[in-house]
Amino acid sequence: MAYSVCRIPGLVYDQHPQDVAFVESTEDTGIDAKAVFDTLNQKHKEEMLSKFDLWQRGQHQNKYFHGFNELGYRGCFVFKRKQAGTYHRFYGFLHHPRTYTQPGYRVCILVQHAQKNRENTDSSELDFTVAISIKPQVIVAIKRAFPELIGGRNVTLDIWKR
Amino acid sequence: MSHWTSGNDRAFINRITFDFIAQLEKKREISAVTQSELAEKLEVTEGAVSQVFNLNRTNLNLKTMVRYARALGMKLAVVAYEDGDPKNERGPVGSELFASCWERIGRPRDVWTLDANLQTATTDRAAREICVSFMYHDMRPTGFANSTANQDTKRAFSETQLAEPIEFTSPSQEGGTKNYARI
Repeated sequence: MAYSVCRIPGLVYDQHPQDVAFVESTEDTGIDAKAVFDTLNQKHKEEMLSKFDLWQRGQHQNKYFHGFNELGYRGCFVFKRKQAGTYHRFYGFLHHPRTYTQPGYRVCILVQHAQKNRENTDSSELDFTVAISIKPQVIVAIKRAFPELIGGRNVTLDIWKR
Repeated sequence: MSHWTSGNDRAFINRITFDFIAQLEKKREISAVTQSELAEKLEVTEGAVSQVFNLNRTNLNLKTMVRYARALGMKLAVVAYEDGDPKNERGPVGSELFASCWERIGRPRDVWTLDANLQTATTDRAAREICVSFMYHDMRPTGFANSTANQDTKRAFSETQLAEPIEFTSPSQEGGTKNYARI
């Protein structure tokens, strides 16, 4: 099954210690975060981009995004949006793609979208995200999209200085 | 690739409005003010407040922004800044970062307080750095003069006046003799 990871147009990458991206699959229909994001109108897209921006800069705001404390779901992450009483969720997982040259750098890989009438997260949604996060093909796709830095560990220092 | 706000002013306005709402949201969370309480204070409907907080209304004018901030016991500053990115390829700097810097420097209300706070922060940091150097690298005060520490730190440290001598234990002299440094 083919997976690919794509960066989000309009976001600036490698400027902060954490970034956001989508995973895509031609065959796995459960992976729909990017497809849903692409169908959002400009206003809602910008709302989500603002939330991605906020997270990239290291801010905490549970109303807009958060991780999970429950055992088994600690690597999961969600970006939230509310529209006309309906809760929209983009579920994903956190991954450290540059373990050698930039160990602290992490990417939130968004997997699926959920739309519901109650605020709480259904664990089945997270189960699917966890299952995707441990697929070797997905990990390879992340590594391809966010490769190790050329030049070794000192390159990291140069990036933060930029 | 350029930041998504670089293309047009509307996107930039949406972005900074979002930042503003995020700050209000945080304050509302901390002070446990409900949307209905806020609506009562502002003399608007709860729906209107909900529209603002759910980002359904992004064309806030300055008057509305001031009213919302004041209702939550906050103030509003409009900050123009240069970040060496005139084409906005990296996006705006978040307003929470400006607020955070201002808070960390002791919330100065004028430039004199800012200067004084900066001076204190510099000397405090320099003293801390030197203490750590002494403790972990077995440095002597005499070694400081020839150290590679930057000139600002050296100057700040030499200006530091501590009332009491600082006591250091060198790792190479564990369990016994102590070194004393009088500054």
